[in-house]
Amino acid sequence: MTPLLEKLEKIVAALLATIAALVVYQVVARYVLGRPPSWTEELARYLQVWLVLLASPICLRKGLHLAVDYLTPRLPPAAKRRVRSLNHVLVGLFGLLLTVFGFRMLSVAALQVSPALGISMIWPYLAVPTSGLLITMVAAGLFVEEQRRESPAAGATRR
Amino acid sequence: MIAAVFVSLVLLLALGVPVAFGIGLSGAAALLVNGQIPLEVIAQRAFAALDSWTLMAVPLFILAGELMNACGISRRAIAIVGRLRGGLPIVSVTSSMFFAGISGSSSASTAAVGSMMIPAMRERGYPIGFAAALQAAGGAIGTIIPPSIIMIVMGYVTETSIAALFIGGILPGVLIAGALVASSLKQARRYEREPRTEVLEETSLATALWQALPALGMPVLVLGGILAGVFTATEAAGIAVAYGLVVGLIVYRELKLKDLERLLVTAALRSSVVMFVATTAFLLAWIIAVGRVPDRLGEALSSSTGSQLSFLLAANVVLIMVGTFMESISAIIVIMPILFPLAIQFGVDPVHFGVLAAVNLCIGMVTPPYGATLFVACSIAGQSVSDVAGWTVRPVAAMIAVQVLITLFPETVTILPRWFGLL
Repeated sequence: MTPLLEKLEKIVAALLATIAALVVYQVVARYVLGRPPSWTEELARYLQVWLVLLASPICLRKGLHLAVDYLTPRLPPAAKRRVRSLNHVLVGLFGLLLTVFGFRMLSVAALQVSPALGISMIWPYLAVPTSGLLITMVAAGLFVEEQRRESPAAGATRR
Repeated sequence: MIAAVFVSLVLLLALGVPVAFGIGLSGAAALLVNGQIPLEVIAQRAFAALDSWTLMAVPLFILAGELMNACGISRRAIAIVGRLRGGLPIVSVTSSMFFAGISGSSSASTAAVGSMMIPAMRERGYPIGFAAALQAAGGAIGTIIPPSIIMIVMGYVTETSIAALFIGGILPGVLIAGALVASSLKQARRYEREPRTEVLEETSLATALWQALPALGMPVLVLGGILAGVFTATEAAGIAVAYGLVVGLIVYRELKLKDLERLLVTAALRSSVVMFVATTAFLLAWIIAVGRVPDRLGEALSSSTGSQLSFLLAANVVLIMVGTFMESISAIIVIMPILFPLAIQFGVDPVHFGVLAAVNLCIGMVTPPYGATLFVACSIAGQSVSDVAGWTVRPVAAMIAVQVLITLFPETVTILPRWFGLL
């Protein structure tokens, strides 16, 4: 799992760099070359969709997504573990929803062509089920880790 | 359907499910209860939320902020204002304001300035809770001073000019900084001991200003470019990235090429945290719109409250409550589609309302239990939120005083955008 996410980190970094370059190029093209290219905005938008959706599973793994951590710290250790396990299941469930319905959406997207680039809309829309699948995998991994932690000795050291 | 949304949302968030996922699941629950809307909407809304040119200003301003932060911006800001008489609270607040003009994120601003100023205040005899609360409030100003991620999302959701919102936020931001300084003067006199120790680096004002000049060029370029109509907010953000690269690599030479990948990853992940919330908040906003909540609420409100002022006061209460318990980006996406049409019905200026809403959410960042900048400041100070809670009363009161002023006098927001011909 982790090697995959490390590769993913490199990909999202490259996506962000490309988006920045496209936006700068658009400004330069308008003021220096006199006419803005029609495709930069569209490409940057689609890359942004991929950027956010691919970075999300990494954020999930690293625990960066914002949560209201008010109730769980006050629970006894056993209940805390159960609530955390439930949370991972719920997050995985939403990942599954994104996967299934994102995949179903592709059949509609296949009929559309993007206005400026002229590519099939499958490519931008593919980001949704891909992200859903990765989120489900990460959530499953976190759930399994939580169960392994269940042994009393490990539970005691994790306070 | 709407009841299903709110019951499940409160339940999921209380369990500690990440906000973005909690919102998404409650949206899905609502669709299941309704039974007529296909669940593909979940995926479709997620895509539509991110397929936006306007929203692209968010990752770009975050990246520009990371680049400038890597050049030691907070250190340079503190070097300029560090000599101000009256103590460290002034340094903490004004440095935060300076930082806010370069970074679009209030959490980043709190972390950057707070990691220097909170330990400095403790060393000079301030209670740690006081330092954390003040820094949380100072950092929250980043919500209002341009460039601000909150304002970009606000403009995106309400279809208001981001340039006008940016410029409209300047005066309220300065007013809040002034109020925070005023509120802390008494404590500064009480706690601060032996001023001028070796806590902060000492350079002459001229040197400090000269060294900060390239950094100060960033807000000048961004705001100047937007005001002159040379580029849009998104293009300005792209230019800010290019400027940050040049300044970091060539002018300050504190940025190394090998650091770039790490900065890009950090900025990409930070952006994703902010924007992934938008994917599900958009679903929820759509469901609320389908449920005709704004219309129904509008009818109820316009029959019970008559005047514009009473509407604004009610909106302030709602926004502060939402901001207290909710993360601000999702709060905007969910609440503004309800409140904004009402504000227009009551004849409130759109820019005035957008900035006022941002001010309220800014206050919500400092108030426990859920406050974005409060969390950051507490973790730097090594204190729990409940230990610092008592200390937030004074800064929050100061912020509310400014909020009342802005509510009563729309000119405090609209005068600058009008001056520049944006209204």
